[in-house]
Amino acid sequence: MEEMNLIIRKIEPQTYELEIQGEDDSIGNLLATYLENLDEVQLSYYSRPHVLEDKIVVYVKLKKDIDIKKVVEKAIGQILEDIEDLRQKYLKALEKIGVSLEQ
Amino acid sequence: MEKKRSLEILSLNERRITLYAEGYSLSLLNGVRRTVLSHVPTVAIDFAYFYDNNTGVPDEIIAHRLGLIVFDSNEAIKKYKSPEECKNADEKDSSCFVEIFLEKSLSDDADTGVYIKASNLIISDPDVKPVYPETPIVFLAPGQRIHMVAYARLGRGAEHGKWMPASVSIVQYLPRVEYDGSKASEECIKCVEAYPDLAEKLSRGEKGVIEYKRNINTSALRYCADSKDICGDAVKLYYDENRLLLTVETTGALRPEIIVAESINTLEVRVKKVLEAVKKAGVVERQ
Repeated sequence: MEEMNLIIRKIEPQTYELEIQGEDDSIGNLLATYLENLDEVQLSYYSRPHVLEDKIVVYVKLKKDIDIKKVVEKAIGQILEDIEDLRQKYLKALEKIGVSLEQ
Repeated sequence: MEKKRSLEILSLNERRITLYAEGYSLSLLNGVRRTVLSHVPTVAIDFAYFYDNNTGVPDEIIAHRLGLIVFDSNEAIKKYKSPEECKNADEKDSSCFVEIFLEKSLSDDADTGVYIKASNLIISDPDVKPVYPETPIVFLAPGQRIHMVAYARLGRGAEHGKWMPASVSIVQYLPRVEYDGSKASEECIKCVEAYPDLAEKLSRGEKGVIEYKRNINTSALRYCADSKDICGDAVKLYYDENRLLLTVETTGALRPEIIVAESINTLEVRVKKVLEAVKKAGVVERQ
């Protein structure tokens, strides 16, 4: 995993782009999807400017003039909750069939 | 409202795992799928020093073949430092690198040549062994000799495909079929006969929904459902983004259940890194 560098740019009122250096489509798609599901967000999508570069740009248009960082943190918080939920359910499913990761 | 979520292991053997996930975002499962291929670490040979090689195969080709040998990494991912921590490590650093030796020669009067295989490699760590010991590396003819030392380390598929733990990692939507037997013609029932459960329900005149929980080929079903003059409103086929199958097939480097667990953990680490970066970042105006 590369060193990460993140820049938040305001490109218009209520419209921002997050340039994330060192990440790829997995994070871009995840972040854009979760952002778009938030009530505060009108539109969100991402692009990868060059396929050979590990850099993504996530665009966010907010419905109101609120703190973009809080909105992004909320989306990431939900992603982390869902990952934790997935992990717990996966471990339970393994336990159910009698498989341990420590074997 | 709390989302209804479930996760079930539909099948698991030493090569493959199939998970059924309901209520999870496609982007999340896709993130896990992609992370399996790009970020779950395994051990592979990184570089090799050739002291002697008069076989018919150049050093570079042998080095490439060595790189593609699959090593058991189940213990290694717990013992060795991550690829990032070992970025500038010395090759003698035993917390980062596994040393692999090969020294073999045949006398001029040997009856026949031999294949040097992965099982001929002498490895400093007994937990890191070739998964396929019969993997051929090079043919040694009478009078030829090879002597080299190679260094293996943990790496990620994003850096080179030789570090990918899986040969298959896919997410599939599951089909959902709404049927109404009272509207089904004989032609429609005949059309869907490749799907016996559906054909039977239609012929009994039943109405309902079938939610398949396994990967089925729906090409023929889609043809029947989409052709208005065959099934009309009797059969409707949907692909449910809410119910997904994740299938991972290992190369042998890691057990399939470990690959999925590692992928979930690694994805979490990546997302947390983004969160930390967001917290630190300021908002700048675009010039």
